[in-house]
Amino acid sequence: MWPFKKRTIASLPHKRLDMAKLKQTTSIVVIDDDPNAFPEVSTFRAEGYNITEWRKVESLSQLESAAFDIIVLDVTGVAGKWGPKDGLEILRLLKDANPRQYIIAFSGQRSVHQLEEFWKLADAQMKKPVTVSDCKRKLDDAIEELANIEHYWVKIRERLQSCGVSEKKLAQVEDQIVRQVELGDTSPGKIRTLIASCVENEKVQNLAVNLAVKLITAGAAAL
Amino acid sequence: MAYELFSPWPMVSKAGDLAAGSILPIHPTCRTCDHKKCRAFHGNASTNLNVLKCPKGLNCFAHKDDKETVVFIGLGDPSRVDLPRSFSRHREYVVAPDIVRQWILRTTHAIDHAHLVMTEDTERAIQGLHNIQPAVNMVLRAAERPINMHAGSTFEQRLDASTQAERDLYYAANLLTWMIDIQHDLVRPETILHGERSSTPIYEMVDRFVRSFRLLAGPHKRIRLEGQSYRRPRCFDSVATLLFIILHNAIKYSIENQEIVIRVNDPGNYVEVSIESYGPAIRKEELDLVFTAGARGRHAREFTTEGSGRGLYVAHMIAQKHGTYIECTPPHHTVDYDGIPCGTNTFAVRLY
Repeated sequence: MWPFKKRTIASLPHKRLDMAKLKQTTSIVVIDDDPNAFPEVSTFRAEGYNITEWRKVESLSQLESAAFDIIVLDVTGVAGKWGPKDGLEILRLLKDANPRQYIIAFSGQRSVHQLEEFWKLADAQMKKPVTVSDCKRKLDDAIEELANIEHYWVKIRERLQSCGVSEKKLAQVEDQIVRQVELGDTSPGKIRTLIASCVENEKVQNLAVNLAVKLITAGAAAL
Repeated sequence: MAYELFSPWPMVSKAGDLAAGSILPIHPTCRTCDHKKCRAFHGNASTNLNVLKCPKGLNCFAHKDDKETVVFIGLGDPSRVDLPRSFSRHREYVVAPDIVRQWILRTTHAIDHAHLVMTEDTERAIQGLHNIQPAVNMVLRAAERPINMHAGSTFEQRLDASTQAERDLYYAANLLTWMIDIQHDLVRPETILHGERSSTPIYEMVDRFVRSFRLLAGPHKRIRLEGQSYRRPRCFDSVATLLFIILHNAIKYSIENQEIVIRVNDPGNYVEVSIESYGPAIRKEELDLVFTAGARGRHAREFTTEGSGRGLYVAHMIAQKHGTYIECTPPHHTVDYDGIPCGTNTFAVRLY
């Protein structure tokens, strides 16, 4: 019998979520052209949220590489191209590049038939106009959902599997992640090398490494 | 009538005339003002949101759709410079808080009165709701700013530390927000199908509704909240619409100087919200009828002509979506008020 027990993400000990810490570690970007649509971000920053506000998409590559954990996305006037419903185009693009990217659809046009896809594609919905309390509740729900480390592993696994990575390699990646979580080693060096040996696509590599580092950070914090 | 929907204060038509609504009177400032600048103000053609400060200190801005230009009077500057500064200094308000609060309450009232207009022309109503959004966003943010000036590590703490007038303003702005939400759901009920379930603090939500509705109900209708619950059942966003509609109906269909009692019970595996109000009695044979589209109770129709019979229908749909139902209990005995039999009606819903 094999003397070593297989180490998996699911076998990592779970600890009660520390919301204050999670708020700091979860990066949020709000993309809306109307300065009054979202409550003042300073209100959220004062409460420990790691939140950024963009009037329009400033860097698509940042969004595609999962630089933000949560994207709050308006449907109109956020990209300056792709027509009036550019938010929907961006949502499609991001979901295509990274299906597990957490996106909150943020619009007041919820009864417009043409926008049903926008509401359905997103992970959560936030209706305009929105009060501070409702906004906080939505963000807290999203943060709690994302803090579940298995959620990250599902994302990484999906992306690597879509690039044809074998189960054996996946198990190696999982083992390396668990090892780093246990050691509290959040450096991307080893995991990057391992992932680079599995997939050639640089975009997928960056995405998987970003997610793995997030998982290790969250996992180590929970230990 | 379409104008009245979004113009609690007088608005300017294309002809430049101040139009007082049948429900809502002219702004007292404008009544004595002979300045015509605001009346002729249609904004810049390149944008649909434009600002002008009137000589009496009220701001106006124009909203245009493809048919009309509607000018709001009595709102602050949406450029985010004017209002916050005036609010933060608490010295010279460009728009005094009581005027803003009145604006909000009147807008809320006007939106509520416009059910029938909106259902007649759904597309235009949706466009209208969309057009008013920048103004509502602005009002909300303006109502939050004075609260943020207070000390406290969270918004809730700052809200507790704020003055009664500031809190009233904030809850009035909340009411306006919810009213817009409800209108979307009433105009196009299929929107309630959007979203996923999430843990919802029911008691907190009801508490906020009660605080806001106290402003709308006025001094002659007392609202009492009883019970407590820390349970957060997994509900869809539309649960807010459900509770809002039942509560709003209780206020609308209750007679003055009678108490409205809201109870939040938490027996263990669910949260029950029940609302008791004294008003036109629902008859036993109408218990199912009141939940059908366009139907209203006989005594409710006699009591007020307002209402389209869509509220409870939508609330019923939302309850069904949650796998529950609204339990309506008619009064055991009634007393005639102006020839209308009145008693205690109870609506209750359980959320698991």
